[in-house]
Amino acid sequence: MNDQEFNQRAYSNPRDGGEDFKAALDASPDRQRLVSELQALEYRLEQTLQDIAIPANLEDRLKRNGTQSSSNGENTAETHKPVPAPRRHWQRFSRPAAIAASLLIALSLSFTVLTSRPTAADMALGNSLLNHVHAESRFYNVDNNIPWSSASEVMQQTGASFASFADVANEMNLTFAEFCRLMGNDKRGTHLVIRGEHGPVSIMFINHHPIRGKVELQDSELRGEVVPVEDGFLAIFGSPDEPIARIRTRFQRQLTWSI
Amino acid sequence: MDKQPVSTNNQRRQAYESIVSSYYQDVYRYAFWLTRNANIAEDLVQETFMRAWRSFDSLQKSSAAKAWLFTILRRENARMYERYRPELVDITDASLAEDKGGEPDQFRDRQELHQAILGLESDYRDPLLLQVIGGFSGKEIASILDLNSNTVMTRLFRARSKLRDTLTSETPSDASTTQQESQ
Repeated sequence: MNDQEFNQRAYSNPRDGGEDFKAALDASPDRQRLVSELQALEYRLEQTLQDIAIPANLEDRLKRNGTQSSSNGENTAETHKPVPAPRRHWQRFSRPAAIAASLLIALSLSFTVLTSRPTAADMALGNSLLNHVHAESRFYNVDNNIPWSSASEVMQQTGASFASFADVANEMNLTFAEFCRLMGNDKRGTHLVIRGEHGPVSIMFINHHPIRGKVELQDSELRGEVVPVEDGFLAIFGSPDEPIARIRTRFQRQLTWSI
Repeated sequence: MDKQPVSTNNQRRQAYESIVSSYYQDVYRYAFWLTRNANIAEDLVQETFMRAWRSFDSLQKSSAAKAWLFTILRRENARMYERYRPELVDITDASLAEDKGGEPDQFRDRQELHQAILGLESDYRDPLLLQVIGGFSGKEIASILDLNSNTVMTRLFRARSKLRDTLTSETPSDASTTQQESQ
């Protein structure tokens, strides 16, 4: 085994236990020094990566999810929601290594934190809306404007309205207004498309479906936001270059629920 | 547990619970480093085990359970969170000093290593996390990441080279510039 091959093996796995690796290691003090240094680094790496505080009762909650599913019959987990995590984060530090764990958590928070936390359900909603916009985009008529009265008719039947249709109509060109099955077959929502600065912008809203907080999403073609509006939500999706926040603010100010 | 797939609900549940007990900690740790957020990691782990339970009969060997769970977790993370664009806030501030207690050297070491890990490109960090947290072999990592084994070993090499460079400001001996990633 030459030095290059040995180095690659050592860096790829400092704890390589292969006989050929051991023989090559014994043959050279330089190699022994290198492996010693790499194993010291590996020890620190293991300590850092593995010393993460495990949430209290996580094991029980994971088992309960399965148990609840089976007690309901067969694989009913499709409709089963995860058991919510307890909010008392301090209870998670129950091990003797709590101080080290606390330190690590503090460290991790010190570099990068997420300022808001979308729930799994909110994330699933955001993704389904994003997929919906992709699926519906072939139906958009982006060449011709349609009257805002079309939007008004759709919105009336979904329990939504604008504080001032005239203000919205003056500011934006509407190209599409339809009911959409945004939440499967359970509820109908409104799906509008306006002409944005960088292409069509989808605006969707539905009442009686509260979300916990704002969700932001992006893929290669679309960027969007889903925000709570009282007991429902408003979602905006457009080109990644589109000023989504500005459009969202305008609609957020205008949207009201009538039922 | 080696006789899976099990035939009855009771056996199935017992096998599932055994797998939860064996692997939930490593799965959570991996989720934590993947998402860098404790709450999202917890949601992700719950989704992962729920999907594992749902498709439990597809698990043919208990020895494959860990890699299977990590694969599910990565898929769920991609499905649920990779398109999520959180507002990131750098809070490297004085709050660190309040928590470091009586071990300033250890604190600095951890901080340095933590930063170095987070500074790795995901192509290098991902196999490293799987190896150190999951204890997977190069072949298993290749399967989880859908790469060939040579690529995985090269990425592991580069990950540790970069970490070592960052931490010691020394270039690892003669190999660092000679590796060619193959895929």
